[in-house]
Amino acid sequence: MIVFFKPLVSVPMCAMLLAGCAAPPPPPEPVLPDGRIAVVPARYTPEANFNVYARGKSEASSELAKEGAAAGAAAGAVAPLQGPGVGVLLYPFIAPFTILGGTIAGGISGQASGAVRGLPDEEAAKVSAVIDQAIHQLGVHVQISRRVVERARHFGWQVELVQDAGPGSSKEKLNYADLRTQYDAVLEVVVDKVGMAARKGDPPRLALEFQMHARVVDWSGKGVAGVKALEWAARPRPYDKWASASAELLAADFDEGYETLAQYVWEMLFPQTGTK
Amino acid sequence: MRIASWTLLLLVVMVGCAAGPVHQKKECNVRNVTANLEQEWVAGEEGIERVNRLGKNDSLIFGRIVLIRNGESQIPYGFNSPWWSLQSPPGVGPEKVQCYRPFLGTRRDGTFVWIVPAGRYEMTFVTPLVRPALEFDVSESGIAYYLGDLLIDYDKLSWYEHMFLSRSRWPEHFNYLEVVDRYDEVRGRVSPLLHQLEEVPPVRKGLMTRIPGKVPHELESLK
Repeated sequence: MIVFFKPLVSVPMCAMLLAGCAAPPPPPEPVLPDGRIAVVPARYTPEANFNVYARGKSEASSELAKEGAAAGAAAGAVAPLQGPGVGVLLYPFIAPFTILGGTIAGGISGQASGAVRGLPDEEAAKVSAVIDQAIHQLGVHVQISRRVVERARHFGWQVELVQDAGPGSSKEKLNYADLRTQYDAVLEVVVDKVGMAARKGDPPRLALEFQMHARVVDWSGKGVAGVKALEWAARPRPYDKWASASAELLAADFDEGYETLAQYVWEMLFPQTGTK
Repeated sequence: MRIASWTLLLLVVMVGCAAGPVHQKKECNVRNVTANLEQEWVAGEEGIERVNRLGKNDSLIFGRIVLIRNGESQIPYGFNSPWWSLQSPPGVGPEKVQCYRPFLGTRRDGTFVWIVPAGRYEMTFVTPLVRPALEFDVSESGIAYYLGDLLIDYDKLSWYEHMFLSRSRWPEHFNYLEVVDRYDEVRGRVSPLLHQLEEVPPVRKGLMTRIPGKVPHELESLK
């Protein structure tokens, strides 16, 4: 009996002891090789979250109250843009930051005036499309990629922006075979999400947030292929500031976000050997 | 015999686990500059001496940590004044030893004034929850460096937000961090302390900067 039980005790015990050592080391961080690099921005519109109502005064309760959220945001987007001479048909000609700023400011005022149930579904969908279009017009993937290229070139890297080769959807995972003859590696730049995040405060506050990832495809064998996820959030600002000057604040925060994320990509994915 | 073999196995496993890069570390010799310098006595080479002067290899650092919780500055602090820690880069300095020092305190108004060995340092942690990924260079001895005002914005979550909605391990959620230059404000607050030193050191701005390749984050991200 004892002979039978001894392995039952000792084997798991040894396994437990060894398990502590056997934990696999974290995968190496992706790094670009020294060579010709193609920086390829994604071609699709990232997930946008400018739904201010949902992330409003009481973040928790509002998050739980998804039912009213979409309508509130929709009401917000339309309200400030429905002045004389401004109609839905003109949306494509309005500057993206004006639309997004209007969404935020309107979401705040819509919330304040109790416009929770807001617009019918059809109108809400239209407004959602307008927001997507504004984000698309901004070209966030390209904006960050361009800044990465500028930094790399400044330090003597052979880097080119290749705008039409990136993934067309979040599910598409490309191998970039077409670029293999011209480049040693590809740096794919994808913004996954951009939008406003709620921050606590009285009055409540909002901050612009970016979530992105950069993927290294390496054919030279000198780099490390892989994906690096990055996030950035702007300084939170109270509602009243957004209500009065949303477009200007947004433009400034977007610019700071592009710069910071491009700097992160440059520092983390390009070997920092100084000026080449 | 059986116990001996088990002990041996345990030792082998533990040694295996412990293998890896070994960095020599020691505690940095730092000193707090407080309002009551005459009460601070340390054992020096010539017996007990007062700590009211910079050593020949020392620098003085000062600045302010401003915690902004739910949009409101927490200054003046009560019992919750922030702590922070620093460490030097590995393997540099005269002794080629990395030094570290946890639990550096701040005063009720958020300011801190410390004497440290001249060198480069990383600010590794600030309570309540942040790895700030900041560094500062105070290599020239005999100088008082203003490191800047460190603003840390975070949300204090309610229990249900923490339990059900937040991915954070802590009841606080880190939002934003920035080092700003508010020297004119801080100068007046720390000036009386500096003037308690036998010789007031010249002041220089040496604002903390982000460490290239590192991003400020809350502790959860260390997983």
